[in-house]
Amino acid sequence: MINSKNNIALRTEKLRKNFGGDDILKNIDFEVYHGEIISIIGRSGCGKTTLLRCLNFLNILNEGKITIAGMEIDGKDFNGYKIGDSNSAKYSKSDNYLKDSMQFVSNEDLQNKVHNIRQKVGFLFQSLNLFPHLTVAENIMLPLTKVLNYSKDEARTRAEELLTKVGMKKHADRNSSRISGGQAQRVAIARALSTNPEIMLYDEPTSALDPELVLEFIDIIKELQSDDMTQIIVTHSLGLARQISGRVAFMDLGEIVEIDVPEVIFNNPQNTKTKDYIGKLLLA
Amino acid sequence: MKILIYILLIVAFNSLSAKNIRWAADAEGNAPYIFQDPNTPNHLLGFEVDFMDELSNELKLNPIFVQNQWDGLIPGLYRGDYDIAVNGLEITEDRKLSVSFSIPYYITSEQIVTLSSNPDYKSLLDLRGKKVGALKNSLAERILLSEPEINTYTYEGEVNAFEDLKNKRIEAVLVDAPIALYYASWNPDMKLTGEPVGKVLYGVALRLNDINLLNDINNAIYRMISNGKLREIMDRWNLWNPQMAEYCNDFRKTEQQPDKFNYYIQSQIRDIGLEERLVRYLTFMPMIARAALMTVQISVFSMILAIFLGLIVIIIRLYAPAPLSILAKIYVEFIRGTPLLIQLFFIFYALPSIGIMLSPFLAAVLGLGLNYAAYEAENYRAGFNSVPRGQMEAALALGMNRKQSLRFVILPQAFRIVLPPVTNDFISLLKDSSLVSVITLVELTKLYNQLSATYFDYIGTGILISMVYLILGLPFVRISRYLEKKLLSAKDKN
Ligand SMILES: Nc1ncnc2c1ncn2[C@@H]1O[C@H](COP(=O)(O)OP(=O)(O)OP(=O)(O)O)[C@@H](O)[C@H]1O
Ligand SMILES: [Mg+2]
Repeated sequence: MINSKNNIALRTEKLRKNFGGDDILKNIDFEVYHGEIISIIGRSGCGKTTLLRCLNFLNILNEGKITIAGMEIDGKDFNGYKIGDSNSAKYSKSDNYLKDSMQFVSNEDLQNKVHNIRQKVGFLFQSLNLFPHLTVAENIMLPLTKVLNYSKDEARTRAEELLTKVGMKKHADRNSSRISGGQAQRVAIARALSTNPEIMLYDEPTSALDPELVLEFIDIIKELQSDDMTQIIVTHSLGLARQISGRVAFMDLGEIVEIDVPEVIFNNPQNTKTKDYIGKLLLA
Repeated sequence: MKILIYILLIVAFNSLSAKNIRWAADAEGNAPYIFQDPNTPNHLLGFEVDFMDELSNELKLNPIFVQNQWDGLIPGLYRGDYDIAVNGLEITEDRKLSVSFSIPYYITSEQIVTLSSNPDYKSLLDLRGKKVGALKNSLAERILLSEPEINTYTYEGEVNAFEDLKNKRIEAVLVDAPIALYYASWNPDMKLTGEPVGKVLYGVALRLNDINLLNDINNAIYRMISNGKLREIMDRWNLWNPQMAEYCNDFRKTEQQPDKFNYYIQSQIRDIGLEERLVRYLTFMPMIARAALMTVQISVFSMILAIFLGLIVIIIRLYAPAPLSILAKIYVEFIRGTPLLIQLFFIFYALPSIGIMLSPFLAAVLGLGLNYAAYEAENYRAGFNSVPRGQMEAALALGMNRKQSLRFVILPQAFRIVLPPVTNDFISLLKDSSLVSVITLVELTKLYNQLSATYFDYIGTGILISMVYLILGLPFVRISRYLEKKLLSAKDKN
């Protein structure tokens, strides 16, 4: 079976996150295995995005431990540093968008670790965040040249490979701010794949897609799965979660209430909160 | 840095050269003191110019004229920009605290001027209850202010005072007699009335510690009195008067023709035709070109400074640790909250007292540059702010570091947004550069003041100089329009 220790791609232990008020994440304990697809579902505001962002340190955990991409980081490591969560109340509204969560963490080892983790963890933002001043291909070439030190030509070749994978090769030289939402998503996926991540995190990837495009997205996910990619998908679409996940995690009020295979979560949930949520939605 | 030292050295050497005497005045159309020859405007005339020629002759020094704003004449002495100031500076107890004065080179009194249609005011008593104008910091002003029943109006320049008199905003003007003589005596709309009021002594102003030079100048003036040269000058300018006769103990009748006075009056009363006027404008061209070059040089250099300094300020403000970033914030707020004029004065006159002595040009560039840097920093901030937060996060999530993210993702996007407001700022800088005339530089606006006061041709000269500003600003207006348009259309297509 897949649950042997060396097969673990990601583990959190007693993760706690708080932005200065109530805990947004508490006691998050879960493991993801290599090549697995996990969906995270739950009500709006329950902390799904925050959890994803903690996994690549766009937000920084207050307590607990994260093991990801073969590296381990403990919440204690950040003790004594000001945590620069963008948006956090500590920063004046106007300037914070440029702050990096790691900005005030002067420990170089820790910084390097986080950088390495970020390379090994692909992140698909809900808003995609393509670089609008660059073309489609340049969006992918930028991390290749700056992070992996590819030459321009190498980067171009690799970018075209990745674009082929998501079916966007023929749009390589278009302005990235002038393509459709579905096309943009595929480019964003190709870009997230550029640094050869071991894990992909998706935040509500299908919320803006029409049903046909959802199918195309599923195709991409499946193809990545066949390459042994570990994937975590935050979604409000129960259908998607049911169809593609190995396991589904249900979150409520900052906690993972139940995590199990789709059949259990959707047909026979064990926890009353899960039952409530699923029951209501499936009846509706 | 090297260039700076080099320039400072040049300034220092210039002030050391022994054969010259640098004298300062404000040549802004102040007949009969010092003004531009209406017929050849880059030539200076005035009884003080003649006095200085003769004085330097006596001193065996070579006179070098230095232009400075009248208000700045005394501070400029202490900056060391020149050795003496000669420009209708009254010898007063107040001023004696900050400069030493030579013995008088001219003595006169205050004169009431009014409209021809007004009654003949015999003395100040007749002016009670009336509105009366006087020049700022003059004896006339002090006299009027000591008369509580007179409504005193203070003016920067005599031209404004006479203009208000003509427009009946005031009923009379009390000015130094030479001004009355040169501005009102020949004008059919105005008349001089009443007895002379008070006594005005003009002296050469020097730094308090220049005792040797003071002695030399006093001796030279004595010689000019006894050899009749001083009288000759005053006669030719029609300025000889009973006070001077008494002072010089010279009661002979005047024989010398007042040729210089006549020359000036002729040029004023003659009505000139369009063609002659155009020809006159043509003679302005070399001066305008020089002044425009000054305006452009100052604007371009200070803008370059502002662009770089602004970037440093915003980077400190956004990324440096708290104490520094607060300092940057204070800098921006302070600069934006205080008048540019005061900042310029500070750099020019206050810094030398702590040993930082800048040439007028450097002071102007530094003053404007420091000022605009604060505004550019704010522009940059707005530019950075308009790049969505997700852009930084996306770059970081890809494993790029902060520097790379800023350099390759944030900056290029902010740049496009910042460009139009920065070009706009350059256009305002072009106009704000007119303020540097207060620190002795002759740029377009100063030239306008000089020319218009020489010819009383405010409209023609005004149009001319405004056109030059327009032409200078035009390319930048176009660039900024173009950029704005391009940006907008880029947004539309998103
Ligand atoms: N930077 C932040 N500073 C303060 N509070 C935050 C911050 N980010 C998120 N929160 C709060 O944390 C809670 C969880 O937010 P999160 O975005 O993780 O929810 P979510 O489950 O992704 O919701 P949705 O389904 O609507 O996307 C919310 O109450 C939110 O207001
Ligand atoms: Mg969310």
